Amino acid sequence: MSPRRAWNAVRRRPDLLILLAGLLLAAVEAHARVGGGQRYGGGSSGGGSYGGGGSYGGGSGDGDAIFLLIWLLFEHPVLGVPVLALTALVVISDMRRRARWGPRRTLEGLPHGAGGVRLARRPDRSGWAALAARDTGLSEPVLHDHVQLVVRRALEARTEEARAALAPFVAAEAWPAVDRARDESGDLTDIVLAGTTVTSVQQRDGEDRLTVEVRSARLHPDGRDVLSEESWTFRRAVGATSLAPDATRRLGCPSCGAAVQVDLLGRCTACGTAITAGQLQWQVVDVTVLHTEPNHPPEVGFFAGGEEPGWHVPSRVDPDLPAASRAFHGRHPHFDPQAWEDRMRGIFLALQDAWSRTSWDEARPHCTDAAWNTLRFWMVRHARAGLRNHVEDVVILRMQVVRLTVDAWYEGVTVRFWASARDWTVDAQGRVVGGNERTARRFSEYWTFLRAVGSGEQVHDVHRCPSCGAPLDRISAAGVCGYCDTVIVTGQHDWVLSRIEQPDAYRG
Amino acid sequence: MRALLSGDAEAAEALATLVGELETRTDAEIVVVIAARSDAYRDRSLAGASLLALALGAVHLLGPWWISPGWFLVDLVAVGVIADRVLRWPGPVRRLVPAALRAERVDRAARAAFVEEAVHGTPNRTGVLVYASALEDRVVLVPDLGIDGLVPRGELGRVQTALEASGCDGLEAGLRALGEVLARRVPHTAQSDATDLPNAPRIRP
Ligand SMILES: [Zn+2]
Ligand SMILES: [Zn+2]
Repeated sequence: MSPRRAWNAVRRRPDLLILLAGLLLAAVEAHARVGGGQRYGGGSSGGGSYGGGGSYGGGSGDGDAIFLLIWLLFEHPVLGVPVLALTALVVISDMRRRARWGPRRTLEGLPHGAGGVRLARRPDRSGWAALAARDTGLSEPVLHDHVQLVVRRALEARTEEARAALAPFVAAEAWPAVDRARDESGDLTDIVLAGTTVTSVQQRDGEDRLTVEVRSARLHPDGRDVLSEESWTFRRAVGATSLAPDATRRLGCPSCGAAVQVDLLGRCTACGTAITAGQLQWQVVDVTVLHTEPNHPPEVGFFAGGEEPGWHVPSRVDPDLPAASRAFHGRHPHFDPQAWEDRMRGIFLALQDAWSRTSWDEARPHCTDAAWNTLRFWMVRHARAGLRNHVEDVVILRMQVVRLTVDAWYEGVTVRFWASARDWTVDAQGRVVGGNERTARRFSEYWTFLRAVGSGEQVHDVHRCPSCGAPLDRISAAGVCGYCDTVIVTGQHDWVLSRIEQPDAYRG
Repeated sequence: MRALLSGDAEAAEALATLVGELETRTDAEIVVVIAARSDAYRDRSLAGASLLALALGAVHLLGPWWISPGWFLVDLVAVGVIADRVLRWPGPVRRLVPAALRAERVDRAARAAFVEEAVHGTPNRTGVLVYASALEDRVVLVPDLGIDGLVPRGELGRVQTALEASGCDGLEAGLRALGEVLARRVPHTAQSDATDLPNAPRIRP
């Protein structure tokens, strides 16, 4: 059919043009849903994932679009053929793109020996970027540390008094939901947080709303050990600027920093600012339990030596790296690359060692709160199953800087490591139940480190509590100093680990 | 602000003294630029003028009266040229150009001024440009890399947010707040006195 005749056909039936436009729109929409990535499924190289598959989002629109396409193809081939070709092109290019970047999913960071990856719902990156544009103080690690601290404190708070002290961070109406999430069983012996993902950032009714997926293990006094996946909703007034990390960690009045004490109108008794409705700081308003299951032992399997599949995956280097590294040198005129590399290697080896010996105290100074929580989660999980994962003879073969960032409070650097180690798991009787004791295995991982901006100027004794100066001998599982009740701050003076990602999942 | 732009030596002197005072407590170098406006908004005025001319043409075409083709053209061109001029005046710019676009133009002009005033030309890259634009009523901070390595962006961001709320009237208070942050994060050391640079604000009428 000639273009001329096609044009004539269109001229005779102008409504077809409208139909064509509608069809194109429908095709685009259907495609967006296919690649939208709102699916998460279990199973990946390492196993050890909990929680189930399940996919969301459906496609009532897809069927209509396909029907329309078929109808158009037979009734009006003039339009049907090009539309079909266009749709095919879009679908094919989308498939190719996805094949190139690998499946979309997020892994929670664990050292190599952890033997498990956890697939989470996709973080809401566009919502996050919009929020970051409005809030000059926003910082991902600070927010995650805050969320994890509040979740833990909220679950632990059983008395009216304890709840009153959390008034700025947990709304009064949210307590019934928190109780439901706690399983109504009273006290918990231990809460081990596995990780948090910000799954949605929305603005409505003058409030920013964050939905955070929280994954944790809960040990009850009666011995029950439960893995729980919850969705915690936080709110904050639009226009509020995120607080500095130290003010965030203190959990005091978000305005003046004094211990929380509010009058009947929800105003801080020290400074008179209204603080109990999320005016200045993120506040829990709702909790929904998504999934719970008994904590089963982590899956371990035997494997041969040699190279892990991720070993050969090409590095994803941030296109901004050259500019970012010039800026980095501008920020640090006296930068010593050798000392820095030694530090990175040091943390890598120290954490592998701490992991192998199940010694989370030794990992503490090298991790952000959130990373340490994740690490501890896996250590505790192995320990409860009577398993021990040995990672020995760790050798770093190569490292490459792939990304440098700065946010409101932290500088970040992502380094890809290529290393080898003997990695095997033994049970309580000392029998080898997984891994490979004899042959070293080569693996590659992206490690992201953080350091507070301007940290070089303040000098603290690293063996004392930065808040009260007491020795670090009464640190609780939450990393709280037993003397002054303040969370021990890491990353203030030197680089600490914030995240570990596998090469096939690293998205830059 | 208006006094500064009209060449009031006293106001300029007062601002220079304030900057000098702040710099006695910090190694950072504060550079103040006062601009009457940050952009001509030609793209906006042309677009607006074209639309007006087009609307006028439509009125002529569809209206009941007859107009000769010559006058038709003259009419359109005259309206277009005059509208283009008028739409660039401060009043129409403030009312018609979206706030986000005005802010973006100020930010861009501030970054250009950063290079033009060589704010990066300090020994440890500790310059901070404070750029105030009168027409848009916006004050912007542009720190150099050395400052970026010493002062968390969240802290400067608080000063910036306060400045955005107060506009040009808050310039002095904003400078003092900036001075506080810099005194804490980039404290004064003896060796920086040797490289002290002039503190007079740069006026761009
Ligand atoms: Zn207060
Ligand atoms: Zn302490």
